[in-house]
Amino acid sequence: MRTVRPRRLGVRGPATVLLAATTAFALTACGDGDDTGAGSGTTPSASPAPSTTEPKPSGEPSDEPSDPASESPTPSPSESATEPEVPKPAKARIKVEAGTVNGAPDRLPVVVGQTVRITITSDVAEELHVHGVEELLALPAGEKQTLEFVVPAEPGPGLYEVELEGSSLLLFQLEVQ
Amino acid sequence: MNELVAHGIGGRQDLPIPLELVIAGAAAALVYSFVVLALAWRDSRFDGDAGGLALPPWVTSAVDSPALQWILRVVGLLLVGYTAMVAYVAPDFATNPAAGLVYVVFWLGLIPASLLLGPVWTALNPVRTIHLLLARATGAAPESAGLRSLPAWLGYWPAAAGLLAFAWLELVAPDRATTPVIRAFFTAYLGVHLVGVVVFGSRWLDRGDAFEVFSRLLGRLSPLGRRTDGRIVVRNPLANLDGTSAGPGLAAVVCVLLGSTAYDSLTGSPRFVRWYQASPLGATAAGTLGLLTAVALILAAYALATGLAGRATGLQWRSMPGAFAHALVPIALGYLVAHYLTLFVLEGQRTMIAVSDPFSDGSDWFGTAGYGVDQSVANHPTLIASSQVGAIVLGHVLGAISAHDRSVRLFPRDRVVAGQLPLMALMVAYTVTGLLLLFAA
Repeated sequence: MRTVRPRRLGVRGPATVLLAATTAFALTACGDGDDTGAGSGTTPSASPAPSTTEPKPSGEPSDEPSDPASESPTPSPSESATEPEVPKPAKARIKVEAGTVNGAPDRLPVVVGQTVRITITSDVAEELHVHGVEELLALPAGEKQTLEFVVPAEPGPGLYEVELEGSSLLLFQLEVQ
Repeated sequence: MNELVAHGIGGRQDLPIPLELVIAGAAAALVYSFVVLALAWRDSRFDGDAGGLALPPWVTSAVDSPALQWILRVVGLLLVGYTAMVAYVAPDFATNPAAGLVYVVFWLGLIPASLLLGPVWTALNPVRTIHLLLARATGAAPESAGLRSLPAWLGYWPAAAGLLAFAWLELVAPDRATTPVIRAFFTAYLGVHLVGVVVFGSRWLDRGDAFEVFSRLLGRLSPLGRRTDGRIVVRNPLANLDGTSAGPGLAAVVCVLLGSTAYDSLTGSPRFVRWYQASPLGATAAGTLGLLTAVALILAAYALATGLAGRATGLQWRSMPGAFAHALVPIALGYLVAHYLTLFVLEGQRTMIAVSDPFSDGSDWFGTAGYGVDQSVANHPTLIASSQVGAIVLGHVLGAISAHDRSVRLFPRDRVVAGQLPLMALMVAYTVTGLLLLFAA
């Protein structure tokens, strides 16, 4: 036993170094991923941003409904220009026939505060259910219906399923950034 | 499991991880594999159940005391009894906690509980308690109370089959979050294991019960263990893992865990879901086929890699799969943590709230009915993504170290590297697959 003990410590040595190195590597990697990830994430939504941000400083910033969502402490124009401001409504037009989903995106990328408009026709009576934000809409058979809602701050970033409740048919996922 | 909560609220998954993290994780896995291969020790250092630093004798006597064992058995009976009650008696509303109790608190909760304390389900398992009482009534020792002795070739195969059945329930079965489906599964489960213990005695459960085997395998990564002399010891979790008793079907158990988690990840991709929803086979048959294919691919890759390792080292290829199965446990754990950590946090809270009011009549049995779900974990997508990748890479490194130690013990000295290469390639393949699934699905 006496000879075993130091050897066991020797085992833990390299193992600990490896683990520490892994953690350090993962952390630095995540730092990189964070910057580039956030950058690439904002690129698509940045293009509509200038059009929405430009009128902002001239208007009344305190009354803007989108302000609490973005939570920018000071309405300085330079800061709000770099912030990803609420882009145009995200739309999906879907037709469901005989259990087949037509026209749906795989994922609909949205940000908090953005309006989502889902226009849907189902050939059978169904219920549209947006998980997470818990939006529901009854769909009479064959009638075009539109569900419109603003993405709330809760439950936060993630992929949320948009499905037909009766048949558990997945339509698409709402990708909240 | 993404759709398990479709019955209630939820239906949330983590955002896909950024490509940079996939590359960083894959590179780290590759680098560490070669670091382990090239620089790690040349003589086996893990001594399994023979080693460990003994805790004071009172710890062992407390753990082995009939009082504590009976307390744990009663706790097990109460937990399962409550779950059976809500599954059988309470209305099947979205607020019924049965699904959350089975899939989140029990199945996912076994992971942290076993990692901390060891094979907890063996101590709690009500089937074991029922059998013990029956054996006491007939005056027999529970281990030998069976009609026949357990054939050695059976090994872990019943547990592998049980895990696959549970994975099917959790990931494929129609209406899997509703109480009639949960009831049907666990009634069948109880029937099979009652027959098992009556025929083979309680030894049946050691390797035949999916949840006991799952808990015991993960418990092998806990710092607590039992030495061959019976003492409770503290030891390096990897040395603990090294003491896993191999047997026929052990590799299949771990491959089912890996394959089903990979399949679950795949079902997070809308394109894949759309494909099987539109499949002419029907969603259930297509899902079953998908799950079986995922498990079969993981198994085939394992059989190939261990076969190549056997060829390179001149060892019996038949002995190879069992010899390295334990090294896949950390990799499987990495997969599980990466896929289910946020789900466990969010749905676990939801279940803890739901258990207070199982009949949805406004009652508050445990004082938690008025709690809200703290969803703030979702607000840290970068932290989530890096912990997912961290879990997978850490699992890979621990698996690689375990396989290395086993290799230097088993393989002839001049063939160690040749024998290890296919195993390392296999682990890198599993890890990269896991990362890509987090990225793409």
